[in-house]
Amino acid sequence: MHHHEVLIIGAGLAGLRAALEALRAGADVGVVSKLYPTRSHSGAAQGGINAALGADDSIERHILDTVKGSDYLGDQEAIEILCQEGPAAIAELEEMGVLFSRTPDGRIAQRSLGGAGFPRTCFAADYTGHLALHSLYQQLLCRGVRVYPEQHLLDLVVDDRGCQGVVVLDLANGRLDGFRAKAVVLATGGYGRVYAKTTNAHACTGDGVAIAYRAGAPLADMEFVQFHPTSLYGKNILISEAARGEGGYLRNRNGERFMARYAPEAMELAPRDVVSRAIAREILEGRGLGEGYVALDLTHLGADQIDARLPQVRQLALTYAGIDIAHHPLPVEPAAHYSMGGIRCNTWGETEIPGLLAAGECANVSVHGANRLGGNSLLDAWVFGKRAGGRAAEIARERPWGSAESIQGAVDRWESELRRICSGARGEPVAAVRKALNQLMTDQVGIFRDASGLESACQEIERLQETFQGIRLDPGPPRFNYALVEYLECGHLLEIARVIAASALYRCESRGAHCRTDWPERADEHWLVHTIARRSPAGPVLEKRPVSITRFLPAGRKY
Amino acid sequence: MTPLDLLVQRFDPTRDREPYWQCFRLTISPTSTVLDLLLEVRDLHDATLAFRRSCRSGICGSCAVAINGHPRLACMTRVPEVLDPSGSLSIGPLPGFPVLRDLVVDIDPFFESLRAFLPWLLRRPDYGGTMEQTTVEAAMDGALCILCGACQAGAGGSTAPNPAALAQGVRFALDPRDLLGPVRLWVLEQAGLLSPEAAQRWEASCPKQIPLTRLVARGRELLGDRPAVQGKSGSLGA
Repeated sequence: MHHHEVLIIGAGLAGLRAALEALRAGADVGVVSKLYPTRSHSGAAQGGINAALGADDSIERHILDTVKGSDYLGDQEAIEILCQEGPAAIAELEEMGVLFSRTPDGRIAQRSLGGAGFPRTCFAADYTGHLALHSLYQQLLCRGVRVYPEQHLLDLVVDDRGCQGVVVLDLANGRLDGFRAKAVVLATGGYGRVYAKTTNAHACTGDGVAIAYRAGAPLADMEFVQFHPTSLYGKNILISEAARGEGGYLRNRNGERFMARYAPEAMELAPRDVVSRAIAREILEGRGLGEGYVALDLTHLGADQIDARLPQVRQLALTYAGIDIAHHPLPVEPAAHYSMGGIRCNTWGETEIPGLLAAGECANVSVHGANRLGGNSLLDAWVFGKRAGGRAAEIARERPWGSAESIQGAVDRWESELRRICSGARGEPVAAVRKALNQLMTDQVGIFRDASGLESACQEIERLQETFQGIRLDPGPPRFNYALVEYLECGHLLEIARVIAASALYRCESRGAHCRTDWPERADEHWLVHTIARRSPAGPVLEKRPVSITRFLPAGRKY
Repeated sequence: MTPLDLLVQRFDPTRDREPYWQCFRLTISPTSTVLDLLLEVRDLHDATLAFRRSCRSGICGSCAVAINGHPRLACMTRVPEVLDPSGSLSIGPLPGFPVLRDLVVDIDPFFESLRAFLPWLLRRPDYGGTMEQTTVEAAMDGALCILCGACQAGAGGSTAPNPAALAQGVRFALDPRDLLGPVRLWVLEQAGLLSPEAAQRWEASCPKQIPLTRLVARGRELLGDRPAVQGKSGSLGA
């Protein structure tokens, strides 16, 4: 068994930033990750990170754009913190070595992403996440932080005094291990892999969200899943919003820039929910190309601008579609990209469970509300990762250690649970259940939803959960037992999918990324509230909770 | 959709005396990547096949393997490009690294051997806060390394010189914010990493096409300007 005052689960941007802050506050810190830190999905972020730095820009405008982008569901108290901390976050990233692209006079350059009134996004070409993740990891390497790679979170150990530690599966040897901690920070990322069409890495299976939910932490706003407008058709590899930020056009089969019909002012730089719906609508109404895509046209930008600002996008298109974007338009379609919902927490990352915190995409603070703006997720991970790490170190000073026996008891229970699961192959293949779930979610809990589709999705997910319960695996070799890992991940995806579908059915309005064709209008009188989901044996129990509104009353949302 | 015989190296050191090859009959489409094939094997044929993967878009660096003997990223390799005329394809673990199971190798030595080169920015207190875009672009060449390990496999394996240290070393040496600056080049030189001939070989196995020869040339050029650090004796090993 290991002991760390502060234990961070997840080594992406939020987790590593939390680790650094807790270290700086003098805590003994351990970082557990299912991957090696530099393999985390934060590294795939392309477009950039927002901060109001420009002389004409202001924190106030960043706040307003984020509130409006969230379709007024974001908590304004949290959004104020996010935007106020933006300039300091950029300064820290620069200090750690991020190679931000520059203006002719050598200052950090900024470009426009969707839903922003100003070019507010700082970027390192289109490798912003890669540079941010690696630079932060390098700084932690320098400080000798203890990282435990390839450890899969199995459970949180929670008793009546709160979270006492965790149980993990060590992938390399198949052994279970306990970690005792005074404060645990979940920074396990999103769950795009619930869907068949997703830009997310294979690792994005929402393990921390599902495990926290099972342990009794409420989830919030799970119906709000962001569909990125431009994933590469077929493979759903992310094509950065920066492609439109740099001036790219979206065209339908008639060559028409169809965004004029949906967002006449912002055009291609409307927020992602608006653009994704527009693309889906064009395809549904027969104006798509091929078997269902639209064209992202960058040919007018010229090879020089593309190489300076979008080199990764050019390479990805070449590698995965055989298309040179400098000369030909690229087929794109929307795909699940970001989870606005997550583990409900306050602006210090604290959940309802004492000693358990959350930060980054797995958390719901909520700064993104019903729709996240491009460039705000790296900022969220940085700002709230830092706050959660600092708070965790404070908690570690005040809170006594839990008992080692309770951790060992949980490890023992999981050992017998895994013996039960691995008692000889039986039932459906795990991959078949996962694929059925993925298709169901993309078809019925996707960009457009209605009551009948959601009701049948809820029933079907329950049925898949029953099928899943009947699955047993061969014991298999203990080392790198990916069959077991994929089984565990599939269980998490099912758990999360059920909450997404139930929350989507519960919310009878359309807001941000949640579009109910049977309730097409936003309904502030009933639904300007967060959806809170708690686990019960019969399924998610849902309730409403007020949104923090400090300055900006809900208004129309035209772009 | 065309048929293909995929040969995959299997090895479980707790059961097998030595590695063996297993054949899977698959169908491929023109856009299939090698990772797509491995995923298909795990989903449809044998759930116990062990390999690392995550982003499937060439940025996380998890899926470095040997494809027909050459180190490559499975997710960045399109099958038609590597298919031999008989329609078969072999996938083994990253060469020169200890095999833990099937295609999973012990990658720790790769990460460990980087540490000696202090691969982090040590910030100059007098950095003024501005930087030329051309400087950013020069440093970016090495900063795009994703630490997949393919280069070290190409260089001979986990005990060979680590070309990723070259990429990172030159990247920081070119960064005006870094306190060590040119000292890093001297260290690289002492470690035998500033060799134009070797860089050319290593570059060929980099899936991200990091221009290692250009980085060596830049490094040597900068070293040449600083006779004060050149010619000092000392050994950091090869």
